[in-house]
Amino acid sequence: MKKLVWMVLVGFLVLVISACSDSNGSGDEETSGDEGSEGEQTTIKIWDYMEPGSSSDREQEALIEQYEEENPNITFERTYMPFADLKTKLLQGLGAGELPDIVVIDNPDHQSFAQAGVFADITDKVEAWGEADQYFEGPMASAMLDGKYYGIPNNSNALAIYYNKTMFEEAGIEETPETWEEFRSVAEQLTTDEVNGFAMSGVKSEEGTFQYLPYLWQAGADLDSFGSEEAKNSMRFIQDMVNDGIISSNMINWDQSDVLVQFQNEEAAMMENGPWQIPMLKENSPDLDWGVFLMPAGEGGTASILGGENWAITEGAQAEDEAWDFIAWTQEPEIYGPMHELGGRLPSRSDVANDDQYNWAQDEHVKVFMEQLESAKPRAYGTNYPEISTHIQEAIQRAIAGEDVDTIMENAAADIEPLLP
Amino acid sequence: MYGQMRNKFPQYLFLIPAALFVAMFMIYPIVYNVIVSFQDLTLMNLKSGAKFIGWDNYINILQTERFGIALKNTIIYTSACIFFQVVIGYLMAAFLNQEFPFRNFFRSIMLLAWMTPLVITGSLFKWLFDVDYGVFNYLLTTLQIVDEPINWLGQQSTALTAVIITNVWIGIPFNMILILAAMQSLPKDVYEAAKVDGANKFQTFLNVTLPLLRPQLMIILVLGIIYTFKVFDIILIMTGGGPVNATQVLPFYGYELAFVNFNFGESGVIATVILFILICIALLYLWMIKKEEAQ
Repeated sequence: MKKLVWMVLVGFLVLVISACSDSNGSGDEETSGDEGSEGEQTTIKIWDYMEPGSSSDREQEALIEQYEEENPNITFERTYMPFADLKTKLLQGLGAGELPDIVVIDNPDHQSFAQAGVFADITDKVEAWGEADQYFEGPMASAMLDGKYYGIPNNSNALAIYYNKTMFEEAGIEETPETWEEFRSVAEQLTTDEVNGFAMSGVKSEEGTFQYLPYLWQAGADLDSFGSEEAKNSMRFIQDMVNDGIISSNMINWDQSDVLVQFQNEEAAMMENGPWQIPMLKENSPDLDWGVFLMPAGEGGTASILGGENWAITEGAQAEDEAWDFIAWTQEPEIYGPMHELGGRLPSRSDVANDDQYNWAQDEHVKVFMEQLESAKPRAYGTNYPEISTHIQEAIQRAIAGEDVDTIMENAAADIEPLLP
Repeated sequence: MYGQMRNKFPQYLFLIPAALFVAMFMIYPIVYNVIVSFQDLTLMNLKSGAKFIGWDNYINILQTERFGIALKNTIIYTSACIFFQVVIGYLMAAFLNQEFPFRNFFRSIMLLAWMTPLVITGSLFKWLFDVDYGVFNYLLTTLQIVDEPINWLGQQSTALTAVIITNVWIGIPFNMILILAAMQSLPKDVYEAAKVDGANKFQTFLNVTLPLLRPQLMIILVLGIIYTFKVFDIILIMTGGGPVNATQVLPFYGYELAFVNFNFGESGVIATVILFILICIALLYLWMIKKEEAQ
């Protein structure tokens, strides 16, 4: 009996070991076979968060397909992960030493991950390429750290105000508002029992911060003066609108897609949102008559916030040169223009942006966003930005909940101050 | 002794896979987590390696206002959930322990609530509690219990209650099944004896059912507390810890510290505190079992 047990165990072990070595062995053979027959076959791994079915996903797929056709020795392995998971996966990859070659990253996170050593310093390549000066300042700055390039910007976006033209007409409003006072009175006029004058997001995530920061800048304050009178005014501006029922207090739970739904269902007459919602509105709400205007100006003038994605190559990527060739190819104006049109995105390159043949020079809505980009500021607050953002989110939520603005802003300022660079 | 070990050796060999699994996926992460909680590990030195900084992380975290709030919320959440889950679960079990047509059908259909993935239940309840379109508010306003719809998840006074209601709903069926199984194993003769002695329903429950169910109830309570204490999914889906900090609980706070703020050291402190509390509860349980066996 004892012998039998031993034999079974040994047999099991042999099976396991041979199974392992077998798979390794055949794997090696395959790769060496490929190299022999087709010269150099290279696989480039890409991680991104372009949601399947979205317009940006269409663009990403089209880029990969066309490049593979033109370069038969390159194959791509693209992995999609949800926005929030990408950062976690990058951290795990960093710990395990298994990163892809190329990452598409939200631009406010670029510096943190560059500092963490996730991204490669590609200054030599960018300088040899010589096209860096074609890019707008803000987006380019987000891909740099200490004067070195850790990637290049791909597309930009900014927030502006969408409005329901029918409701404007019914309320007898002819001019779109330009200042805070005008904005507030227009929003008040539009507010009825069923309809909120304005909708924005105050959710406890980066989206909430993204939607609030423009007002902070419009008031003439910044993160290093979060406790100032100007900063308090910006928070009061929003709190008052919530208290007076112009903005639903439910904004505390809305992300930017929920805000869009409010606007689509005509529960809100105006909303703060980005250009990526244009294709959604055109496709899903063809009956809605809407327009876009620039963010209102406060004491400190007009301002919006810069969003967008950057390309980056990871530190120690196996196919670093091939990855760079691909990225540089996507930035060639004759590829970049049509592809961004397909993806419903706005260019970060001035030469393409000024080209009249594309929809950002023709479509009336997209044109507004292009204009808004000029006053859009990046979230360039160093590597502690993610934590700073959580304090801002808490401040927003406290304000919506009706707490005293002076106390909220002073406390938040004290929390934020040591985290700034 | 030695010979006995030798005879048993092959049997120990069979334990190796399980032991390896536990060591690799349970013990190593726990030990590593405790180590990390003494380091200043952040995103910036994740690659290069972090320094040991003694108790600094513990001092920082335990002093923050948020930790106190999170601990308080976790305790309120756990005790409220367990209390209602077990009480309602018990009542349902008592009901389903009777003979009536389609009894088995109802028993199994009750389990659906527990089998649905938390992501789905969480999203559903988020909509049910919605201030503008929510069914709960519709019912409350049409029945004129309240005048204005309540923004359940959007205000600090009600958010935690709403999340607790959701989790109670999810947990009832599981507790019910466990209690029902325990009830069915109870001997019939003691009930007959109680009847002969003239005990009424309430006395029977207090003096017969409850003492007999005690060991099983203890297990249900301890498992329930451990499971509920680790609440994460529902919070993430329904409120994200908000509004402000109204539904901030320890596991979610730890997640935020690690994967939003990238402060792994401080997150490790939270995980260690959770581990410590749960070990205490488990030890308390073991001690009570031991006492019971000794009697």
